Amino acid sequence: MAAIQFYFHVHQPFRLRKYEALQVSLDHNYFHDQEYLNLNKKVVEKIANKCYLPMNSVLLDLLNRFPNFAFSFSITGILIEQLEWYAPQVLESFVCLAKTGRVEFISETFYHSLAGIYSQDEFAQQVEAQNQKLFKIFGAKPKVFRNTELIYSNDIAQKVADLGFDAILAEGVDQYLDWRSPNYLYQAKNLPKLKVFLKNYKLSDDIAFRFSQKSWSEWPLTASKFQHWIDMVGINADMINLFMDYETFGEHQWEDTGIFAFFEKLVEYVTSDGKHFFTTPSKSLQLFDSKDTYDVPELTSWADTERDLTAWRGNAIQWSSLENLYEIENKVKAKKDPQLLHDWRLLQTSDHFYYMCTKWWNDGDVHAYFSPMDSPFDGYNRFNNALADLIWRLDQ
Amino acid sequence: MNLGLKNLNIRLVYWVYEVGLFYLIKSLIASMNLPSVFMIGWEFPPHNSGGLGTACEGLTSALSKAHINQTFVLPHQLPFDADFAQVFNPLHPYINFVHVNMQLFPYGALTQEDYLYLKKRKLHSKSSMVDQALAYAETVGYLANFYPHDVIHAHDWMTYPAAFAASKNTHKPVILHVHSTEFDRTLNGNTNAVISQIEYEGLAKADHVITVSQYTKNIICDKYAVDTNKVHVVHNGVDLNRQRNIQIDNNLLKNYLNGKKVIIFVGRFTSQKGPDYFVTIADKIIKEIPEAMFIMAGSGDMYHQILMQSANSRLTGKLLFAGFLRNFEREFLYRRADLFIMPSVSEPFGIVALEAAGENTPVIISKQSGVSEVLTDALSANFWDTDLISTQAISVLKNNNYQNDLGHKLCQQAQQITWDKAAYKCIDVYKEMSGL
Repeated sequence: MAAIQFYFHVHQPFRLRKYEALQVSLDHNYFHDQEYLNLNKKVVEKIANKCYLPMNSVLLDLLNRFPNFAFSFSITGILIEQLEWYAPQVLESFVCLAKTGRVEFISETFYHSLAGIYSQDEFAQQVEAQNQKLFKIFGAKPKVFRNTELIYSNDIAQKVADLGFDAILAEGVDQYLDWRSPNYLYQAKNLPKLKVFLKNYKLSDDIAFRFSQKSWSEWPLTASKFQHWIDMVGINADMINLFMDYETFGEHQWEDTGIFAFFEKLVEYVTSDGKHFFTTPSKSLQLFDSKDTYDVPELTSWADTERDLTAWRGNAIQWSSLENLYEIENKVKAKKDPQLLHDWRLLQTSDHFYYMCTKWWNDGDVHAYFSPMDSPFDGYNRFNNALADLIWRLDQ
Repeated sequence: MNLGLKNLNIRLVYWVYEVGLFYLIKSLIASMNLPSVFMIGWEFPPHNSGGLGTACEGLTSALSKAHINQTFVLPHQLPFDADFAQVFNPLHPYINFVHVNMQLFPYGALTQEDYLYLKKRKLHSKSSMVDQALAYAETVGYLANFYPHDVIHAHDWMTYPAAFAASKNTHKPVILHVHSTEFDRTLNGNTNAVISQIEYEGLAKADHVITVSQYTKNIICDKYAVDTNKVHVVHNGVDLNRQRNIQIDNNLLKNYLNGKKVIIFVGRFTSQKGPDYFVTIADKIIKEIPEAMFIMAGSGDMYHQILMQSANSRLTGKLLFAGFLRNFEREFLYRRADLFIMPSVSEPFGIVALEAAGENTPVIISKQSGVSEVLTDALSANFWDTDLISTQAISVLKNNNYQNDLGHKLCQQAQQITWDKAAYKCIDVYKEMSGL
C-alpha cells in the first residue's frame, strides 16, 4: 500500500512588456501594456478558462465524491495577486477547494524567484510574504516548502530548515539517488529534522509531458494503464510523488486530449480499488520515517533532462542579469520605497531568465510557445531596460 | 523578363508631368547647358538601412538645388505588379524617381530575427545579392533609353553592372561613386570573390571614380590598382537643417536619464563598425564612471554576439540596445548624448559623426575613417586602442566645461561640411566627363 501524493504547482509570472531603451527613466511601468490592454491579464484569463476553472471544478467534484481524496497545491503570490485583480472568481474557486480541508498548501517564494541562491535575507522575506498571503487567502499555515522550479541542494536545504519548515519537495535526480528509489521519505544532509519528498519523474512526466505525445509508445495513456503502473511501482514503495505544473491540465495538455477525464477516472479507480490511498506531505510525515539521506552538493532542479540550472543561468545574458539584479539589493532596501521594492522583486521572477535561455533556441521550437518574447535576446532587452530604469530610480 | 509598361505606370507618368509642369519649365530654363544625370542607387530614405541612402539623398538634394536634372533609379518593392514605375516624391520634386520592382538587402547582414521576419512576410528572395544586382542591371539598362542624360552616376557595387548596362545602350560616360568597398565590409578576409570582382572590373572600366574620402581612395588604388588620376575625392556632407527641424520636447530631453552621462554608438552591428570595440570601451569607462549609461543604436549580424559580450562584461542595466532608430529617436539621442563614439574598423566616411557633432555632442572617431579627414577637431584614435579612447572619453565626461567647449567647436566645424560643397565637386566631374 502506497501513498499517492499529487502536488500541483500553480504559477503565472508578470511578463515584461515591450519596454524600449528610450523609455528608461521616462516611464516606470515595465509590466502593464496599455497598447494591448494588458498581456498578463489576457494570459491569466486564457489559462483560467482553459485550466484553472475547469480543473478546479473537476477537483471539487472529486473531493465531494471521495472523502479520502486529497492533494497539495502551491500558488505563487504573484499569481494570487493577478487573480485578485483580473479574475477574482477564479481565486474564489481555489478558496472553495481549500475549504474542504483536504488540500494542503505548500510554501515557496512569493515572487517565484531564485532568491534562495542569491540572498538569504531576500529569500526569508519572500517566504514570509508568501506564508502571510496563503494564510490570509486560504487560512493555510504551510509546514512544507518547495523552492522555485524544485531547485535543491544541501545549501538550499539548510536555508529552508533555518526558516522552520518540516519538509521540502525536490526532484529525484538519478545522479544523487544512485540505486535508490524516489518512492520513500528521505532526510536532508546533516539535517535529520528536514525531510525530503522526491518527485517520481518517470510517472509524473508521463502525465505532464507525454500524455498527448502520439510518438510515445505508450500513447494513448488510459487511467487503467496508469493505475496498473502505480500498482507495479507500489509493490516496493512508501509513496509515489506525482509533482507537476497545474497548467498540465487544460493548458499544456489541452482538453481535447482527454486529460480531465483521465484524471477523474484515475482518482476513481485508485479510490475504489483500495490498494493505495491519496494523501499530502504533512500527513505522510506522520506515517513514514525517512529511509536515508539525500545528499546533493550541487544545485538541481526539475527542468530539462539536465535537471540543473542552465535554463535560468546557462548563458551570459542570464548570468549578468541575475548578478546585476541582486547586486543592488541593499540600495533598493535602503530606499524604503515600497513600489521600487515591489518592482525589483517582480524582476526576480525566474521566468524572465527562462525566456533568455538559448539552449533550445531554434525556429519553431516548442519552447517558443511558452515565451511571450520574440527571442531570448528580446527577453534580455526588456529586462535590461527595466533594470536600467530601476537603477536610475535608485539615484533619484 | 517582361518589360512592357503597364497602363498604371503610364498614367502615373502623365500625372507627374502635369503636376510638375511649372517646376519643370522653371528648372529647364535654369538647367540649360548643365549636364543631366542618370543616377543609379540602391537605397533611399526612408527605406534605407545605413549611410548609403542618407548620402544619396543629401547629394541628390544638393544637386537639385544646383539645377542638375536627375533621373534616380532605385530598386523597390512595388505594391503592384509592374517591372518599374516612375514615382513622384513630394520631398524631392525636381528628381525623377524610377522604381524597379525588386527587393534588395543591401548589406547582406541580416540577424536571425530579421530573417525570420522576412520569411514570415515572404519578402526574402531566394536569389543571391549578385543575382539581384544582375537582374537589376538588365532592367536599368533598358530603362536608360527612356531618360535622356549626359552622364551615368552609380553608387556602390550593386549598381555597377547596371551602370555599364545603361552605358552600353546610351554610350554615356560612367562615374562610379564608392561609398564602401568589399574590403571595408568583410574584415575577416572572407571577401566575396564575385563582389570584389565586380568592384575591380567596374572601377577599372569606369570613366571616372568618386570616393567619399582619401581613406577610401587609398584603399581602391592600393587593392584594386585603380589609376589615381581618374579618382576624385568628394567628401560627404551633412544636412543639419533637416535634423534640426525635428521638434523635440526639451523637458523630455532633460528628463531622459537625468543625472547620467550618456554615451552612444550609432551604426550597424557588423565588424566594419567596431561595435565590439565600443563594448570594450564601455567596460573601461564604467570602471571610472560607474553612473555612466551606454546606448547602442543599430542592428546587424553581430547583434547576438554584442549582447553576449556586453553581458560577459556584466553591463546589464548599464548598456542598452535601442535597435535601428530613425529620425526622431535618433535625433533625440544625438541631442541628449554627452559623448558619441565611433570606433569603426574601416569607415569610408561616417556621416553619423557629423550628425552627432551637429547637435553639440563631442565625438571620438577612429582614425580609420573618412570623416576624420574633415572633422579635424574631433578626438581620434586607432580603433584598436581602446585604452586611449576610454581615456579620452573619461576626460570629456569628467569635465563639463571641456565637454561643452569641444561640442561647440565640433558643431561649428560640422556646419561647414555641407552637401552643397559635395554637389559642386560632382558637377565639376560631370562637366569634365560630358564636355558641357
